[in-house]
Amino acid sequence: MDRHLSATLKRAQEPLALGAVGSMLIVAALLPFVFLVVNLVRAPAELSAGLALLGSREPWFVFLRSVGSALVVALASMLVGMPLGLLLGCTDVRGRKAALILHVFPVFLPPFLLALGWFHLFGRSGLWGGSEWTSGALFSLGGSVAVEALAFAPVVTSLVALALQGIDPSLVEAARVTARPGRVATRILLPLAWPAAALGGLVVFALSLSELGVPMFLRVRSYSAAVFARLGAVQYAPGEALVLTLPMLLISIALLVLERRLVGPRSFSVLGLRSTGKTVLPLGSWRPIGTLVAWAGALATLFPFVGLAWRASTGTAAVQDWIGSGVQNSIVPAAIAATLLSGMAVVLGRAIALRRAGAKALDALTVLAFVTPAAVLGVGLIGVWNRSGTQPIYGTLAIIVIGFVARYAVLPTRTFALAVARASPHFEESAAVEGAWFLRRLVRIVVPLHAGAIVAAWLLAFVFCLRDLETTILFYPAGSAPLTVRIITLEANGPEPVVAALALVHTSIVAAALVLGALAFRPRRRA
Amino acid sequence: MTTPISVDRVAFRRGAQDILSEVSLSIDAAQVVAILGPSGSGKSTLLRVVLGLVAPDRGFVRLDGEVVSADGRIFRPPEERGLAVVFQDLALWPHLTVRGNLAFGLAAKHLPADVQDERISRVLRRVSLQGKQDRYPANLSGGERQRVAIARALVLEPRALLLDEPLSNLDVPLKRELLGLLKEILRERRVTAVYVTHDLREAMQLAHRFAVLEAGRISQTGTLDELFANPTTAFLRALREDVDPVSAPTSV
Amino acid sequence: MKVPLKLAALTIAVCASFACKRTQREVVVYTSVDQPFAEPIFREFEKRSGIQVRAVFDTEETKSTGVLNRLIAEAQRPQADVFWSGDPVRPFVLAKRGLLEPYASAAAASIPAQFKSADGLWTGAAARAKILLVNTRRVAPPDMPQSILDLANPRWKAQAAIANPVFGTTTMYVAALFTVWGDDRAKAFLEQIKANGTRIASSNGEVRRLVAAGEVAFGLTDTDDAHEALQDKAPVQVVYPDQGDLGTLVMPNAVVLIKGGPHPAEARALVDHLVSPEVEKRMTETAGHIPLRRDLAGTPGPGPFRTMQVDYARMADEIGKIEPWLRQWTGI
Repeated sequence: MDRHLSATLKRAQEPLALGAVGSMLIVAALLPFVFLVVNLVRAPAELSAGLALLGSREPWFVFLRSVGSALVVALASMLVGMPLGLLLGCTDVRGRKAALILHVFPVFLPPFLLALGWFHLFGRSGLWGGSEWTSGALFSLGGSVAVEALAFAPVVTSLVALALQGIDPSLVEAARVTARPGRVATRILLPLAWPAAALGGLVVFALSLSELGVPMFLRVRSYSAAVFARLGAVQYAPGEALVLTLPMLLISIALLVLERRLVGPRSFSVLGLRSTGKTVLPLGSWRPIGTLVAWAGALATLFPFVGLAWRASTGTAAVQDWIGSGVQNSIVPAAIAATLLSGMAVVLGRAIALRRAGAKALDALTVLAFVTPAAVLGVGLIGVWNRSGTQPIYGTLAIIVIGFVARYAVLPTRTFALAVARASPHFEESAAVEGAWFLRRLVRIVVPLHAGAIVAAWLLAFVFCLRDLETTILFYPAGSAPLTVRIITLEANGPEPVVAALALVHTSIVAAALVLGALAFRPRRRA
Repeated sequence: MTTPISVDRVAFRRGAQDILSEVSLSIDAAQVVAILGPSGSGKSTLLRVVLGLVAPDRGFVRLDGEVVSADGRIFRPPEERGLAVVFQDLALWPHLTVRGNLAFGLAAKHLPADVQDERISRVLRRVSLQGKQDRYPANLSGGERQRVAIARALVLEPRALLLDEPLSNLDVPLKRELLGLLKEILRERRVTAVYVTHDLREAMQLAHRFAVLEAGRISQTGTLDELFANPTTAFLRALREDVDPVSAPTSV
Repeated sequence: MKVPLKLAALTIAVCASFACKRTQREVVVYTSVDQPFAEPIFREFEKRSGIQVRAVFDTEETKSTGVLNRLIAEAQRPQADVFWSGDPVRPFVLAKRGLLEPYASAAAASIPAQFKSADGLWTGAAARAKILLVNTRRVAPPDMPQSILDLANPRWKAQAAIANPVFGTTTMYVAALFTVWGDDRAKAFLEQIKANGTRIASSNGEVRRLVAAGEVAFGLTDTDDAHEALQDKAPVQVVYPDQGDLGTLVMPNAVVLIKGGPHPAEARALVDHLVSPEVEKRMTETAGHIPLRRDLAGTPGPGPFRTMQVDYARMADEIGKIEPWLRQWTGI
């Protein structure tokens, strides 16, 4: 009997583990939406008000405008990211690796910090601007599109570079025998990198559509800001805001389907089976020009830091008076959430890569939670967790951790799924045939085999949690504002040099985390 | 005496495609059966069905008479089948030493440490890898890795050993050497084995019996003589011509 | 494998040390008063009382869903003890939902009755006023506009600015006009403003920038924004509008006690501090506010100019009613 029970338990290890992770996700990410929908059904007035609003022309005008500008942002970042990814991915431009790292870095920062940096360069009292014209250009739809395109272009660059590093060098060598580098680039390499660039474009589109900080800072009307305003107006109407998010949810679902159809089956191969990092396309006499272009493009994304540094240097006000416990409030929940998330990613990411039952639905849930406007998720989280029995969660950093788990699960999960999909399934299957049950395989085979991917997943989750503004601003416990929230609340009438300095503090934390992560990530040869 | 492995009218579909249909096969104790077939014929899938990594859509798999999977269900998962496998890519765990690779399955069976040590050193001696037990797979030669993979499977003393084209990536002298070693070990330990390959010359060295799998169906089974006496398909005729040019029809 | 384990251990250790910290007396305050001004006042209160202040700050109105909504969302189980509102209207939204606890602080005795409710539901502290900020390079003192009616005056066609009335204190101002003038006149006035080519800026800060840069001749904004422009030595001057009849709108900050907050005793201590003459003086000096008490030494109270006679509770009602119309008017 006892033996029978233990055998049953062993067989149930995998479904139980996946079930546990799935339940965590459902509690963190799905419950808030269920709460909102139930409330909406209970308050038909809000439902009909929301529907009436959707029945009018105005919201659709703003919506189409937002979709249009997100499209332009996606196209522009592809325009920047594809050639840069090509130059930085597989040619022999000088300092290629350094340029790639510098170029990609701003992706890990909240975009409104970059907007703030541009403001200190081109705003009315900016370092290089100071004129009405530059300021007017920045505070316009065009300015917001440009800021976002430069902020998100590294997504495309890095995906294209990764994809090109994974291609078979002999493919290019065969072409180089007969064609000049330019022709090889346009005829061979770019078509090969196209799926990666398209995936990058999709990601940028989603990021831009849900971006809140940049359009608000640059005072540009956007749909996600309008949804926020629906919550922020004197009439508190979360149900109406939920109805207003329906068009965005439709777009999210469309993106998900598009990703599955166009890129999904290939997305693992898109990213390259192995990164050789070798030069496959020497530029010859074009090398100096290529180097110049690559570095100019790479550094363009770093300009905002010049603005921030300049503004920070103009003030004498003491940063320590204003920083409070912002650093700690940022790092602690981000680290806890990242740790939790990478643990979940091992189970769920593996299940997705191996196409286990239920994994696909959970994958879709993580994607939707990521692209849905954070304000809606936030109001749902308050509704679910602000109860008398759950004060140890709602009143503490735990609620921030839950918010992070809900919103950012997709990133570490997909990272880990990618690693598993790229490795031979036989590593784990051999272990199973040898009699090792799921947990033993997970601990002894899967985790050590993909230790690098786990570090990468942890880092990605950590950095994105640090970057968060719009999720936590709704429910961070009183007195525990994370650094990003402090920066944006101080930005209203706060001393500009201090705000710039705080932005730089945030930047340094992210940079330090990435450097430490890179050191841990460095492949070690076993002797 | 029971049959270690018996496959009974197994069918397996992927999407709209039949990978295996009506495959029946039984393997007697201490017998080595080669499954021959062109690539894409379903050989590896058949092996995965036997291992319990996938469930057959229809049909039965029996191990020593016990039904272990049937009609889309798995009654005994791979962990409980007592089999061992060598894949084409070997799948040596890169983060474990040679010893670690061999000990993994023994530890999963909760064998006492001294039994593990004894078995590991005996097997390593048999494949001439004594002294390399603390190396990582990355620091071994191709032939050494192959031997570690075989040793890792044998150390478990499985009820049957399944080999999925384990030697197909090797050069001819190395392949010959390893085939010799494998044959000796299989014979002296009286191991029941299934050897999947598209290469008849390899199969001839090891197998007592042959099964030809084409487009998901077993087209013929028997000894080499039985097979060649009356080759029913073009694949089989081509195989025969390859090893026995005399049998080729003379061109006019 | 080792790296994630170490990280996990580290994070657990950090959290443990973090969680053990909260043993002293504390009070939770949500505020829409700008953090740069509010935070030093909280620190001072901490030093004096030994009570730790945990605060949630608001951003500029449009940037977040705002602490007000957080207060409503959390109504089921209040997290905040005190709401220190940057305006006198929002507390009424809470009052209507029954979320406030009356508390007439003794420290507020010297605040004029017009700026607090008799039952202690809300207490005004330092205030802002809606003023006209005029660029002195573009307009000479004798020609300066003296009334908000000038926003609709063809003489100033396309030369004036007003902040988007959907957000911030401008909403309140428009609501005041609706209560004083009635719907028809107020709506007609707003339509005239639009027809007159008056710029609709995104915020009061933006109005200040437009005026300071001379892009417009004058604009309707708040005293604290004017204060900032004057500190920056911009060529501007403040005009308290409509001294003849309507009067200038005074918008006191309001301090309210949340019903069922977790720290009632500490909350009262904080309210006493926030409505004290000292804090009012400090807001006057650092935040460009004007004091409500005439007894504040050396600084002009609301006395020197004529104030608009309004009922803040009615204004709050009016805001709810006119919001859809205002959205339409601005086109959001």
